[in-house]
Amino acid sequence: MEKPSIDIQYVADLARISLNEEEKKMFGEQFASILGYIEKLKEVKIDDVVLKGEEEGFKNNLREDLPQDGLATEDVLRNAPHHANNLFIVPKIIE
Amino acid sequence: MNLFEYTISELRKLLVRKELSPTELTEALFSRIAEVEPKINAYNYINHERAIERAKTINVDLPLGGIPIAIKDNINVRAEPCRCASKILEGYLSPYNATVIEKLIKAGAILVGRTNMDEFAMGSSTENSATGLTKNPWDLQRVPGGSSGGSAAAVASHEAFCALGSDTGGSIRQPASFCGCVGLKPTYGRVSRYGLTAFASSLDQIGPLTKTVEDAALLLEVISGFDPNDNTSEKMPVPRFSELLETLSLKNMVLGVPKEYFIEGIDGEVREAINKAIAHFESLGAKIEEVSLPHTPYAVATYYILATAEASANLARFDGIRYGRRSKHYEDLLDYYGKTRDEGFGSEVKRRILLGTYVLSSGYYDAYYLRALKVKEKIKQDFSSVFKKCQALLTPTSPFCAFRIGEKSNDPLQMYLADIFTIAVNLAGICGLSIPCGQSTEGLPIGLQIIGPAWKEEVILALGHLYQKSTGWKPPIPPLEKT
Amino acid sequence: MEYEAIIGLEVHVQLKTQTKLFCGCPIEYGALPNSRVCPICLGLPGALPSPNKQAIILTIQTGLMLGSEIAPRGKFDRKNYFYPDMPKNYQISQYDQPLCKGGAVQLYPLAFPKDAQKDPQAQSRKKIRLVRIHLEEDVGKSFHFGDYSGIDFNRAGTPLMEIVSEADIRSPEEAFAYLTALRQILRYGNVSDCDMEKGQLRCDVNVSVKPIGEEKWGTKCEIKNLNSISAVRKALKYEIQRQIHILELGGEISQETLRWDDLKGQTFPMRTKEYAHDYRYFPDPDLLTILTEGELIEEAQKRIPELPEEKKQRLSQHYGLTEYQASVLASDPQLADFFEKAAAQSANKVSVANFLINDYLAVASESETAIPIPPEYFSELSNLVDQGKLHMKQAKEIVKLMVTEKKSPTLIVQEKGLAQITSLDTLDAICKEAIEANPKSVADYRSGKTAAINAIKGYVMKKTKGQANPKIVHELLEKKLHELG
Repeated sequence: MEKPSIDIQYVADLARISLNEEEKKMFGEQFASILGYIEKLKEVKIDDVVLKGEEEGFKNNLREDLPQDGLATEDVLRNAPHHANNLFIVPKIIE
Repeated sequence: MNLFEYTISELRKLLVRKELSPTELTEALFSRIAEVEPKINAYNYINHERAIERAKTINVDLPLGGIPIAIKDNINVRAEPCRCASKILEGYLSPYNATVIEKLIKAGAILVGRTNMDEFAMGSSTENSATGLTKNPWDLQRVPGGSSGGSAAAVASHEAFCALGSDTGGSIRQPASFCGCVGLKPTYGRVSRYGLTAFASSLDQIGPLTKTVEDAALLLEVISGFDPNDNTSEKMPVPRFSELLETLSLKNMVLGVPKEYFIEGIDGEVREAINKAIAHFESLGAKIEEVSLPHTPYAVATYYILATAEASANLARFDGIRYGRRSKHYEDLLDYYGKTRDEGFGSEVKRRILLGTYVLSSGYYDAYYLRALKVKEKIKQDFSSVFKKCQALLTPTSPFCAFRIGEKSNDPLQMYLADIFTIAVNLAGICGLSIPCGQSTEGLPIGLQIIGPAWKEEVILALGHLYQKSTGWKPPIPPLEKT
Repeated sequence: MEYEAIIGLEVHVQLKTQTKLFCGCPIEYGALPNSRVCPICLGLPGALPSPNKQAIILTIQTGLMLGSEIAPRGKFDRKNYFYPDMPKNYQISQYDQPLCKGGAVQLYPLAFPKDAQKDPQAQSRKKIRLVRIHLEEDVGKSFHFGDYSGIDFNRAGTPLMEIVSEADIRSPEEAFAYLTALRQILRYGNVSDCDMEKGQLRCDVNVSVKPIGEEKWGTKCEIKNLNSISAVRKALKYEIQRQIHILELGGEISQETLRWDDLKGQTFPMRTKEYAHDYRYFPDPDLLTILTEGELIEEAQKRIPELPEEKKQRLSQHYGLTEYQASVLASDPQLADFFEKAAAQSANKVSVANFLINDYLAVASESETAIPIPPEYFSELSNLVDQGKLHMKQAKEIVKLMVTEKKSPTLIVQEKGLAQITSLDTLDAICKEAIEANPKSVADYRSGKTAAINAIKGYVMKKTKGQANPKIVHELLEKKLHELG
């Protein structure tokens, strides 16, 4: 079975992970192997499967629109690697 | 008998009769931890002070009153770190309690610390941890299994009376099997996931790791129940599992043995031990029937598409902006994300995120994700059919015993295939219990898996309890030596 | 060559719920940064979404009001992309099973900008079709400073309804009318306050041009950063011209995302957001599908008020108003309500309408959402005129005073001694005096220049500080002038 090729750079960009050349090579090889294995799913007959929403007697599980306590701002910012004036600071976003 | 050897069930009796104080008990555990931890390294975090403070005033009449418990490092506990064994969560202190933690606190349990795991629950050996290497108590050169390896090792070496773990593809059951303790994965939706750092949302469940099935029943009772904060938790009533352990009659029971779980490649001693356990149930009056779960060969592939896809989205939030570790040198925003995540994630996590991103990417959704969802349905149907004639299934938990540290880490596919017997249970959303059923000639534990239909934990617990009672199970103390 | 524009609008509306879409954090405009957040809307590890029933009901309600088809089962999907204002780096939205499909927005003359209301396009009663309406969560707010940016997550998780129109719109004025008509329905339904200044209604437009008669549509551009309905009109006007100009010179339109610069009055290309958008949509495994039949649709239906068209008809018929008057009053449900309360307590309903429309609205600020005085003031005023205690010109003046001084007309009349003078004896005497004081005007009148009476009348009005009833004065003067022979 033909092993599908995978554009590791494209995927790494989408996932926002900067890979070095070594990692790209390693992952590329491992993926070829893993995806080759996954190809076997094509053997399964699936046209008779209907992915239904939920079972019989399904009931919605929704929340009433009533305010609840959240987190205190100091608890929120305590974990922030960089914050100032109650804002989370990030590298400049250019629009 | 040392205090640290006791089970929860035994301890509860002593505590309620005031023959033992929670403080005494907790201190005894910490002594054991001090003794054993340097060899096992099961814990990522221990909070002695907080535990003792709580032990002093705890009400022992609560269901778990005075019982110390260890928590896997991916479950949020207020004011504690929640590392998930990752660099990227360095410094993160959780500002809230997971629902299961609230329940444990309400039931009087005493949190003693957080256990090691594979990073973000991705792995089967706990080798993928950025916070240290945990050893198998039965052979310090072998892995404890994963991803709840720390929890299993702690319980097996008696440096925890019980622990919580999480199971997405076998992460409670397999380490329980490798370490020789009890591990249970509840039905999907039985236990709230609110506060469990998500790996694969449609498969994750929190469950107990304990020394006996009796203990697992008690712990399950406490942590189960519908949670409005978890839209996927079910409004099913929670049976009093601990009271149903001995209400099962094996007389008309049919236990299925799926032929696809007894293939080539299973370790000879594992096969022998499992067959022996099956024969034991037969001798107790159960009818054993061979059944078929024809889509078993597709379970691992299905799992790795669905789990990695969901994980790729679930782990996107780790970007060092609101919490955690961020890269120190970057040129612009894109570079910031790229470096932060490259530096913060380990290899296995990166591999799965990339794979998951790929299967969801443009043009591949139908071929991979949608197809996998449909095969998942087929797997579920396999179990539904089989449960029409059997009440439970008996299988090995793992094809082999604990392997050596480093042995499988170079071939990810090989590692994935190790999950072959546990994975389908997560895909079908049903329940599974692993109990020790023997040891290899090298002294390594072998685990028997008892699989039950959805919402029937009382059946598998009763079966497991029956096995332990009728075989005179007593939680052993590992020698803690290198062999 | 004549060109036509093909325009489609994407509107994001902030729903008027108390709490966010997936958590119980309260929605509060202007709160201290990062003070209305919780593990869920901050994207902390382990947090799970909990869907807001009311947000779903409001979305279904909107679909019902706009004639959409409500999906029997709605589904939430994850839209995956990275941005600092995104707590999870995926947005929970709806992809292929939105809550509502189809529907339309009916345009009407008053929805058009004032200077285009008499155009043929304003009379057409055109319906702009909708593609879909779906529910999604809003992102945080970013602030930019020099080398870095700051994020406030208070807004993250706010429920947004995205309403996508078909490309049925053909002019900037139609776009203006579409937004006005849409906003009216949303306000009527109490689904959103649609205050664009507070970001409660945001609009992106897609626009392309093509020669009239040409079947193939041109390349479209997207314009973002439009902060008001008039900005939408201005931006479209500019962009259409820009595109036509390029085509006329033989060039090609490149598909771009543009931002509207209101100060410069131009569109500029936006820096493209890194890679092509591969959102990798998949159903959110943390959320169940939504069964709309039963409770949700029933609740949504109960919330539907008398809609603008119905109200216009009823006001017109019941109160004897012209179509124009009914239209104006129905333009805002609160205004219509106010009118009906005022009319209930007055004998002359039409005059109440006139005071509201001609005297109050004509001078009220457009941004004021509520009338600052009670409806009873207008009832009183109308009754005072009806009873002859005030004449029309006085009444009009009093409307202004009612608003600035927040006092009832009766009180104002009392305090300023404005009671109309109707006593024939008093007026008679003053008229006599006026005639004697204006011999030239009298002479002009008698020689046939009937308009000369106005000068004499003016004298009387001045003498009585405007309180004399002009009609009576006019009659008395006429009578006297004729008596002079």
